[in-house]
Amino acid sequence: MNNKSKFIFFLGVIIIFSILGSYICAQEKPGRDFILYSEYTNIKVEKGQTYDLDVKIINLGSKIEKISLNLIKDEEAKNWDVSLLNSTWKGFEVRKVELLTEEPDYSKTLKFHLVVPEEAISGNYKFILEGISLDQVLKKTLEFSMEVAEKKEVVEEETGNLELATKYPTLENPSGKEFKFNLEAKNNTEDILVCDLGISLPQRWTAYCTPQWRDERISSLKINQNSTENLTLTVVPPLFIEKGEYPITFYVSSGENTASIELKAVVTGTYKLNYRTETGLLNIETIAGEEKTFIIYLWNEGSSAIDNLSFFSTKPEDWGISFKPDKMNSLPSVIETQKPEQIEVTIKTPAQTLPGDYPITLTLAGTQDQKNIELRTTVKVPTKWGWIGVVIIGLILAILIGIFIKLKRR
Amino acid sequence: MNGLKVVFWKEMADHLGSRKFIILFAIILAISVSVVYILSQNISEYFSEISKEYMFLNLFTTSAGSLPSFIFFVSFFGPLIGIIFGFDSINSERSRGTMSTVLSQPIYRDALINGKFLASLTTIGIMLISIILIILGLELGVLGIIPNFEEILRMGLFFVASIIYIGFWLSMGILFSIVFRQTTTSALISVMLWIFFAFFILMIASVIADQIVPLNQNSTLEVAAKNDEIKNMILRISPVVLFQEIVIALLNPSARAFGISSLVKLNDLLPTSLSISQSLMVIWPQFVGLIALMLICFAISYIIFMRQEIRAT
Repeated sequence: MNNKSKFIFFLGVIIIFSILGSYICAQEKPGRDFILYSEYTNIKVEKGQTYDLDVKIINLGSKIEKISLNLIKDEEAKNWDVSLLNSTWKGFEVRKVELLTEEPDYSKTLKFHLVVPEEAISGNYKFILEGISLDQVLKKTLEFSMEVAEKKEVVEEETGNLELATKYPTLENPSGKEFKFNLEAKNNTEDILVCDLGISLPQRWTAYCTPQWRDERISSLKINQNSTENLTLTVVPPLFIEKGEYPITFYVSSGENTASIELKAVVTGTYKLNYRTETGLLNIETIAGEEKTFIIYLWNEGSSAIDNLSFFSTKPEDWGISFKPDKMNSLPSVIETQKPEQIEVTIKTPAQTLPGDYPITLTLAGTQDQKNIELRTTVKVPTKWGWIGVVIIGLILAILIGIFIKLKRR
Repeated sequence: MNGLKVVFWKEMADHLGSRKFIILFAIILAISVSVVYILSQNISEYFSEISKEYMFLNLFTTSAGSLPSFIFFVSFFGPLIGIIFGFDSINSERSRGTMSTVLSQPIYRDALINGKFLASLTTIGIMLISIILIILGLELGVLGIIPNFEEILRMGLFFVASIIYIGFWLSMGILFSIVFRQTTTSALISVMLWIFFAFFILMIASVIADQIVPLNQNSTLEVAAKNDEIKNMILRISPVVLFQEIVIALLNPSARAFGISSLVKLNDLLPTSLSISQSLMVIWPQFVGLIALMLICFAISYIIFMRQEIRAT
């Protein structure tokens, strides 16, 4: 046999076999098949935990299949609670599945629900999911193996018999405001516990504890077995306080059972300008054409310094209002300075001002706060003109009297 | 002094008994009372316009319908009263020939003129104060408004200003009665001056102001204010205008300026009332001017009278 005839022979064989093979295969698949499928078939489980594993049943054939499903448990796993549920949130148990041939109903996803009992002994457990078609022709199995591990004691740490928790351990408030922490105290024991409350605070801070939504201040608390009490811890910072973070520790204790929680109060800075005129009055008397100087005391009631203070005024035309000093780079809190700043305000009215009351507004503006001072300025006419008038009349009277005396008795 | 007293009481008796006094008094009283009465009848109509703080004073300055206000009557007809009391005080005696008779008594000349002036002024004062008191009583009775202390003070000042104002016209009348021999001449000239100061000065002032600062439709407020200022300056020659300004400031506590120029400045002001001393300061120049006018007028007539030759005719 030469090479060419060899090649043709092999080619012939391959063709025959492939035709045969495809024929046989077509014969072997009578259009009926399904599979059971799960992503995870070997998992590690913990005692007392619940697991849900997705299980898919897919119809691969061209006929509608009705498949009954059985879960087979190991002998050792007798007391395990296992079930096959449908995939809705609160699934119901499934015994039989009907699969169509077309999408989307050719496959179903079920849940293999598994509750590992607390008393399970560590080791390997096997579960077999068996699917049998209605006519017993097709039968598929899926094996799950679970390895139960010993609980790690360190991780557990048994949260204690008393527990304190809060959703918001850090609160932020401007200074001068109190902080309200909502706490949960939990008694995990089987006894009623009467707990003492304790707190450690930064200096000069005060605090009190009330039941939630109530006003009574409490220093001890009864918690029923396995129940939770809600508390409100009100922390009052001192009146003047610098901005910053202040740690607070809150305790409950009952006998040897104690619990504590770390809380944090964040005080933000406040800025509040305040002022007072020398007399406390907001009206000023001045005389037209003259200068009037008065003093305004200015201080920062907040907790942090106010920057870039400058002073403006709105005033009637031709009036002059000047400030001394006319600006300040920074006005620290009055807690630091312990005294107000003095500002000298000079009002100069033009000589022709009509007498009466004029409104003027002084604006003390800083970066963080500003204040308007509305002043009523009462302008009076200078009395010198009055005296000049009196002098004129006096002169005329004197002349008249002079005439009287000179021309008298004729 | 004794001579002065004699002349004073004699003149007083003459004035109060004279027919012209009674007629004048009746006219002024009737007008004033009717003004106040109509005003108080329609008080609700004017109520909104009247500031409640000085309601009493406002009744003097508010005009009721077609009737002008009380102060209008005083400013226009006060001069007439002054003139009527003054214009014939000397020359009528002279023409009757009683002057030399009087002066032959132990009465000096200065006592005569002083006595006449003071008696006339006192008569006018009595007249004015009785009218004011009648109005006050009427308002108290009809409206039940009680004036507060400041209102009473302001009314007192108003009374003083009115006396000085009428006193000016009186001394002017006396001056003319000394200068002119004929009573008709002195009467005519006095009335002419009154008409001039009360009416013509208004026209003259605006004519002069328009000549200096012409106004047209495009004039700015500043130009208008300038024009107004000049007009006011000229107007203030007239004692009538001076008196009107004084009275406005006295009886209207929120008034503090006259003319457009000062209205511009009013923008910034709060519409509050002035204290009485401040109101007085506002019109103090006018007040001084009025007093000076009266005194100078009287001084001139005094000098002329003292130097005159008086012969028995």
